[in-house]
Amino acid sequence: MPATVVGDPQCLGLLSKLLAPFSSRAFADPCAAFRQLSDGRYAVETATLCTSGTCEAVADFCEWLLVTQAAIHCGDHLQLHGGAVQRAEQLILLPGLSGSGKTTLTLGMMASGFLPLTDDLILLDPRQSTVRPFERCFHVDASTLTIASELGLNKQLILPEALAQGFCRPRHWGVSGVPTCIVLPRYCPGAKLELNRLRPAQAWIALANLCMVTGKSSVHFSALSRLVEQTPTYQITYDHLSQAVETIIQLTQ
Amino acid sequence: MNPIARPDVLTQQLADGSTILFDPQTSIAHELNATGALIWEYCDGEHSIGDIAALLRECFDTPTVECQKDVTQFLETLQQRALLNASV
Repeated sequence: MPATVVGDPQCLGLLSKLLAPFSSRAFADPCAAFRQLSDGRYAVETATLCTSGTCEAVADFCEWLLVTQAAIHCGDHLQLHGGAVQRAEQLILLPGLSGSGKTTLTLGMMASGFLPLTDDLILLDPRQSTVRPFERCFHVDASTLTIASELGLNKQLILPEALAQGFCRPRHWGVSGVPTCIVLPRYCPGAKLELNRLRPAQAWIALANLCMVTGKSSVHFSALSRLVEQTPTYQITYDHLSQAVETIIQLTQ
Repeated sequence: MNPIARPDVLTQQLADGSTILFDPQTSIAHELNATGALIWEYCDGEHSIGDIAALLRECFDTPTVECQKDVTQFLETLQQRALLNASV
């Protein structure tokens, strides 16, 4: 049953901007659905929502809650923490927890002509083995925005000034496809660049640890097995973004 | 008591011959080699440690004493990781 978000118009306007890519979706779509009602309120398919705070804080909280709740309801997909990028036939998964460098690496790959599918939550269809785009805003701090600017990505991104503090969103996204390569990033300041190919069992264990708790079922684990058997998986430890991007691109050639 | 594998532990066999056990209670995955996978398969409550050692001996042509010791050690590891129901 859809839950309804009501509140200050300024806050809802902000929320509407953050969730804009999801607003055009039909409610039957299993991913996050969000729409504006005729009376100006907003409706989403999720559980009850209750919060308070400044306009920005409420919008930030709602964005997180609505997107995560919607993703949880998208239970038929295997959900992994991580980013994904695509260029032509190449679709690279960048699974990793917060702090592993997946957002920065996603931006680095974008600067090399890749389109993002997500920087946050990988949605894998267990039957088709395809990954779909998840057009959630990127959560970015000042240093990540500086990197994006240095990479010349400002025109490819909707920046915080047009969204909300701490958020940016790519203007263009990749399309659903079968992953061709998996790279587990590990940003480690001062570390020497290191690339290791993982055996399927090692890859399986690493990816299982990055699965969302709600997505852990035998169907999803079978999908994970097919994924690691069909897709070469690497772990990259890096300090310099450009080196990591270059190494990953070489893997796909 | 014969060893019994916890029924809620998910088993995944990969094409390269390795087997993974996933414990949904701890969310920890464990990789087994071919021998470990075979022992796990026989943790059905029907086979004693001696039975499992005998079956392995047939498969791998290992001396009896060594085989029994390896099986016991492996089952102890499984028990330490709380993957078995019955005590070894």
